[in-house]
Amino acid sequence: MRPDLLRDSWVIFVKEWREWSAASMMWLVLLTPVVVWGVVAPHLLGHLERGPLMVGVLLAGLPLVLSAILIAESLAGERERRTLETLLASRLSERAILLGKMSAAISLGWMLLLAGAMPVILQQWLVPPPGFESLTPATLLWGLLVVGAPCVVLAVAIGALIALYTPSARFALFLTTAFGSVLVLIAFGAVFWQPTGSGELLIDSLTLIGLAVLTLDVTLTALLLISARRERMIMIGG
Amino acid sequence: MPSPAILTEQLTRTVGARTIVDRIDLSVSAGVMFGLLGPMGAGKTTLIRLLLGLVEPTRGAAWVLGYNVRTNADSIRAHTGVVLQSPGLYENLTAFENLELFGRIWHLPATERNERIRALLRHHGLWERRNERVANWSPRMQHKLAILRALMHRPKLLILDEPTAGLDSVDRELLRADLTALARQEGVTVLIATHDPAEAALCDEIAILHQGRIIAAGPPHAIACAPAARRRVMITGQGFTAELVDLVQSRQDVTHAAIDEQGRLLIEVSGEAACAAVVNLLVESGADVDSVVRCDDNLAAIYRTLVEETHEARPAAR
Repeated sequence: MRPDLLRDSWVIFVKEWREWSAASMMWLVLLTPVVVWGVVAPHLLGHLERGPLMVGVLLAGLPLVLSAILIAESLAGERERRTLETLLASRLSERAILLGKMSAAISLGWMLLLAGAMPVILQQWLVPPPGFESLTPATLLWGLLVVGAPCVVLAVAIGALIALYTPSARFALFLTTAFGSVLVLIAFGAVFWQPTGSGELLIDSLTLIGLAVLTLDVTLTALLLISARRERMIMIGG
Repeated sequence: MPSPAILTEQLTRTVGARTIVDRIDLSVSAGVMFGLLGPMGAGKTTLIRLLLGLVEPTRGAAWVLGYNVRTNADSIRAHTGVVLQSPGLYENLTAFENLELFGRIWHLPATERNERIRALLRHHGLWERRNERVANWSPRMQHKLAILRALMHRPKLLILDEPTAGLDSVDRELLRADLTALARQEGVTVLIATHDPAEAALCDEIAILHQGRIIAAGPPHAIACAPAARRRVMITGQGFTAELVDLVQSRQDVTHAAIDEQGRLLIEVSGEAACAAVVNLLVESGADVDSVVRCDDNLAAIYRTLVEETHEARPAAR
């Protein structure tokens, strides 16, 4: 990877965070549902009586969808506000812009994931509900690291892909939200029908899922970086 | 002889069946302020995108600052400052942060970056407002900041696409003055795309673009006096009868003749000689001619005429 690419991606990364930091309402909109859901989700555990994998889907669903929406807004929104074309008319490469934006959205997604998981981790550490003793804080953190984190990358890559191939920001946001929600529902359904297992089995399953998602991440991100062209990014017909 | 800042040869861009930019041959000398004048949809923005390597030409070739747009677009963008149709500022960020971002993009070292920002903002009276979010600024100030942003890295070429679009007349005048001063001070080649003849008239050279083609090029005063252009002439006097109007209209070099409500004869002729010939004809036919006034001795009127002529000649071009 060229040093310029990393340096330029970092400039865009910082720019994204500066823009988000300046938008105080965005934090309220992002963090409130994640934290509230993080508090509500542990109470559902005792009622759902399904395997510990359900916890992951419950906790990760919202941050994943929000991360995908963030990158879609960042790309398609900038295109509509005409700031993306200004960036593309500068010395920055398409890849640096895309990589910078994606890494910023991924870092925010990880932060949301952690913020949402904190209440569950605390509960499992202090008073784990009956039947969920195997779900130790360490297992939860492992799950976040090996499955949650790559899933955020996947969500961001999907959001970026949608933003690059849709004509308007509104349509990109709609499509990303719909696609993300459907995926979470599918994951929810898949996990719902799984039998419960031991702690070791859970760790093995998480690792396997994590590896599969990581492979998808690498493939999709490489595809995005290869296919990123200025014409495509500003959606120019004329 | 220095090489031109911009050189295009038969540059063409088509999208599907539509030809957006059609066989453009253009040469812009280094250090001049060049105006690309044309109505909305003439292909100005696409031409700019082609010159910046944002889109690929379908046919033809172009060199900007000596670099080929197909093979060396990165180098072109590295030496060019651009303000596209919208200022393209990050409205959540302050003026200082907007400039700082682009200073970082251009890899200016921190000290140089801060000095450059201070110098640009101070010189253009924006330093006191550097920590305000640009969302709260007027369109003129935003445009001004966008131009300063484009100058951050001391580009050799500055490209401005409709720099005064969306501004009121007072702001337009002020921005025009700013632009002219900037171009002179920084000594860069400036390419301005505009649909406003008054804006183009400030340039050293212009090209009139219509339906993707250049229909006239040269210094503004030379285009305004182009003999091939149609002239609108107003003749006052007595004895302008309907028969006389028909007689005038029957001449090959008269494209239009009519009498207005005040009894003045309004004619449209091609070339200088035609006007004198019509006046002779009127006098020989018994009419009294008091005055002959050319209505279109300015770039705006010539531009309108040229565009109309091209439109009539190529109605189905797009």
